[in-house]
Amino acid sequence: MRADIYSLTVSVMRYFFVAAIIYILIRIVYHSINEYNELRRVKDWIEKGYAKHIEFLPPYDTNENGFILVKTNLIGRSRKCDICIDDKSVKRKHAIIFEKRGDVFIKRKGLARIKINGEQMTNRLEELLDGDLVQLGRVKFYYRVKRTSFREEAEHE
Amino acid sequence: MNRVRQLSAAGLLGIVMIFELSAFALLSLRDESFDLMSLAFGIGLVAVLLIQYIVMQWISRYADRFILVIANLLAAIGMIVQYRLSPDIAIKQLVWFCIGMVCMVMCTLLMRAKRFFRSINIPLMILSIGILAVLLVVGKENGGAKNWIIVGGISFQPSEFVKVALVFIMANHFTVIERTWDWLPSAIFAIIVAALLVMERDLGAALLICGTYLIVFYVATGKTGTTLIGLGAGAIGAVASYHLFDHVKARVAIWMNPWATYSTSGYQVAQGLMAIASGGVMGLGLTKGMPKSIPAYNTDYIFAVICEEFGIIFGIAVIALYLVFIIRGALIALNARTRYLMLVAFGCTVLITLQSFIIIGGVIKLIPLTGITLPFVSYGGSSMIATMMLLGILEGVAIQNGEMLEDAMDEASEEYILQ
Amino acid sequence: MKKDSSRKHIKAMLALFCAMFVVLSVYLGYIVSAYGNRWFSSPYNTRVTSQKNSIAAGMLLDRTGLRLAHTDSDGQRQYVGVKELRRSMCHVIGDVYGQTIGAESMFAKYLLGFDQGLADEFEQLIGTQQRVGSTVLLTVDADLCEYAYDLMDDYWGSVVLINYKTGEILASVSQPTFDPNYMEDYISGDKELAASAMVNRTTMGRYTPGSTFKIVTLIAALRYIPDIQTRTFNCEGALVFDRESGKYLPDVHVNDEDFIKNDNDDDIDYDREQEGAEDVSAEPAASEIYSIVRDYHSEYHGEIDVFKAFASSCNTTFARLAMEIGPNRLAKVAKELGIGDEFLFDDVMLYSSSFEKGDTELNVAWSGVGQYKDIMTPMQTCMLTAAIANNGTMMEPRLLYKVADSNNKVKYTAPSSQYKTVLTAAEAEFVKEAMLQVVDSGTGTRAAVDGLTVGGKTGTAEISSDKSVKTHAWFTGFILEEEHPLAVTVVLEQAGGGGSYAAPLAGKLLSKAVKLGY
Repeated sequence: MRADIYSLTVSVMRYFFVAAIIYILIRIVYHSINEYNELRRVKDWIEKGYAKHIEFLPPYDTNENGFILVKTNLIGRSRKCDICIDDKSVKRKHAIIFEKRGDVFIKRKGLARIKINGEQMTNRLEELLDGDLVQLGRVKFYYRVKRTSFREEAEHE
Repeated sequence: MNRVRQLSAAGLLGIVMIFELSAFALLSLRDESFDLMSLAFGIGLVAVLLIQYIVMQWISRYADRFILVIANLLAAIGMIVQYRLSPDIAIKQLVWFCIGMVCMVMCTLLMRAKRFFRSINIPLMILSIGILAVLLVVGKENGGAKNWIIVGGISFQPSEFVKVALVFIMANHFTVIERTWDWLPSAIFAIIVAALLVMERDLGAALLICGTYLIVFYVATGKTGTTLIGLGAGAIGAVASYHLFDHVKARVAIWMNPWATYSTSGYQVAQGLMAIASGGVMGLGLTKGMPKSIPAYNTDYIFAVICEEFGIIFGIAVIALYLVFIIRGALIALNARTRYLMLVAFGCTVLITLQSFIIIGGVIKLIPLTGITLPFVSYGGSSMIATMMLLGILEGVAIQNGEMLEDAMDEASEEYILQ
Repeated sequence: MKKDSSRKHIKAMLALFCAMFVVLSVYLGYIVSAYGNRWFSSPYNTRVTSQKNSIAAGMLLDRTGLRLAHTDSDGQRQYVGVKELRRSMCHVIGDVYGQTIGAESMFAKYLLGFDQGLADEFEQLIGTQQRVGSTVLLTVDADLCEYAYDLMDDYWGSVVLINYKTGEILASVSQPTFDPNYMEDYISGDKELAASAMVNRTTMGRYTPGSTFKIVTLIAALRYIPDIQTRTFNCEGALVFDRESGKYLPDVHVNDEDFIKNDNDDDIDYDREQEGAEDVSAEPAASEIYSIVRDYHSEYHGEIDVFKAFASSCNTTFARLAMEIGPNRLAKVAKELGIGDEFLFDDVMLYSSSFEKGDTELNVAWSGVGQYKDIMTPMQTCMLTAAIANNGTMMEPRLLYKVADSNNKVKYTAPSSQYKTVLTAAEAEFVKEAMLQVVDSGTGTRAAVDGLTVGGKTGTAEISSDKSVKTHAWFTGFILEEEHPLAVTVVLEQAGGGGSYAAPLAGKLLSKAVKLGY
């Protein structure tokens, strides 16, 4: 009887083992693809001076100025966020900036308030265009596509 | 301080741990009495996985976590099967795995000493040839090949370490190629090593060394003609050895039809095929197969045992794991900072690729069987340590890649802030 | 830019590695799906034997539900009680000791419960009785097998009857037989057994096909000789070949009598009944210079068309056709018809047949009429006949009908599957017509079944140059009516002419099968 139960357990476990290894495999492949894409972005940025990034306005323009955007970026006060802003006016998880087919969008989290170019964002999703000024609470930052665009602007001023 | 964002591998580690622990829990219930040993072994294995992961992350956050997890998972699958076959062997294997881990960390750290391996190039060459020549005289025979040596009660297989040496020797000679003399010594080295291995009847290792050398040579020099000549020479050598050595002839005959000589030389291959066929799609279930009927069940033929007890899907998943490992290894080589590092990383990748392909292909009768170990999975101290060293070297290159990228990012953003 | 080119090469090598590993996975999947069943059923596979300790092998039934084999309460394998039935079915059933290849080993997967899922296992865990394997129903009908066994009398050989639409084997008998109940005694040597009694002649008997092979030559002629349907042939005497070189000599005519008397003639000739006394003449006889190809009973048919030639099994006509088609095309057609294929059927272990190109014109001529080195298994001949009847589609022969669990609930019905299409519908129609004439007015009239249209081909195969050895009698045929899709092949070793021995047996078996409703 005991042997029978064990035998049945073994038979059931076969499915678990196969499922587990396939899950592990898929997960590794998924992570690898993500990592590969992000590396390519970063390299692009380094080599061609071309990258989608955000730059904070004072008083948040610390040394960490200019965050290069990856595929999805969670912005907020929480340490778990990809882009962490230490300011009371920013929610723990405030917004997500993500890229889809080359276009960049910003998405509100919950009832967080976001202003784009001074206008209150009413939709849940908004597309970001080069040079947009985004405001989360008191924190302001520019969304830029090219590093050089910043240089040109600086020269103008 | 810019950082390359990385996804968390915690979930992955969790499922790997559950996989390992559940397998050992299953094994602990196998007999009438509860086998506490087995569970302890499983916990030990998980602990080793965690330690390994944490140590590598501590060395640098840019250590490639996925090849580490794959290597660990493969080793764990190996040890599950070993434990199911004979717990003593599995414990020895775990000890070797731990030693291998130490060697891996050492290799990773040594890769930071940028000129270390380049400076010991000639001693490496002399040592490799010397030890193989000594082996020819005092070597112990095991399974037809005279490739074992016993030092202080521990037997080890020098050819495994010669493979690691080959990686550095090749990379050193291929880094700058302006004259023929730049690469010729490495070719002579490879030929001597291969000849010595053939004399010791270790055909698998000889094939591996020649194949690796040719591929790395092609990649490094881009000389298609010379590579083809090398390939032709290799083919002639293979045909010559077919006619010269009876055991090569026998191997090919077995490959054509293992059933004809079932009672004698074809026994192993036929048993392996029956084991795979018995496993079917889902496998017979851990502990339900009869893998002990296959000769060399815990070394060369471990893949057949895995297929028998876990099934074909699992077997294909294992092949896919190797493939992911190889792709990541090649990516590390592609991203490498210097040409030397690129060749080192690529050499390691090629070794693991060919080794796993030759043995899995041999077991499933795609190519004639040549006895070599399945990297990370097969039982064998030397093999485990050497493979872990290759892994350590890859990790060392990966860490330098990550740090280089970080530096470049900082530099670029600095330039942009200064504007 | 050395560096860049190296990177490019790495990428190329990576692609190569990916391809290598994909090949590994695909090949692993392929070998298991193609050979897995065969390897698993191998008598060497100790896993199957060891499973017997933990599970009682399931029942083996015929298609009507008659129990052929079961495991009794002591764990002993018991076979059907009637001795004739047991003997007639022995090759289909096989044995559990790995001596023969039959249902017991081919379907061990089911019989020993390797197919049982979790639900079965769970159910049997709750029940108290010992675990029992699945019940296997075979496609054969035990009555038909026993009937065929009776008809064969004491002749060695093989009879096989299949459903040409589905490929189901309805009857398969091979003589000599063994008694599955005494397998242990045969192995230990306590009981004597004819040397080849454990060989299933239906699937492993590699016979010379004789005139049944003219079906292949006819198909080749249809493909490569455009005016075959309208051409007339003149059959007026033996074809003469040079003995040394095997060259065809169209202008030489010889007297048949010279050849009949020659006992040392190591070439093959068909006539045995006129075998005469030896008479060695002083001067070199015609038989020492020439070899001839001629007809059964030295009949000559005069002006005939191809149908008539086929119906009367005219050797000279078909030898001429074979020479006209040529050995290469003949071999090509034989290959297209599946002769020489290595079969990997799930249900039957079928040895491959073979066709070898004749090297001289004489050998080409002989190879076209089913002599020379032509080899056919009865099963393959039957499959070819079935394919013709089935408008050119060859079905895979099947022995597994259904699998039921231990409560007799059917859980799997084996599907029929096509092996390949060997003929176009028009070609099949033509060959069918030719075969119908054989039974209607040719050599196979004794295979006729009342009320139904039967087509077929007889064969009388020489197996030795020694004249005292009788020929193998062949008949292969089918019922045209699609309500009774039956194809039959009969081989009786050393019985005599196909028309007089094999054809009547086939006719009787067909009418019995029709009576039983197949």
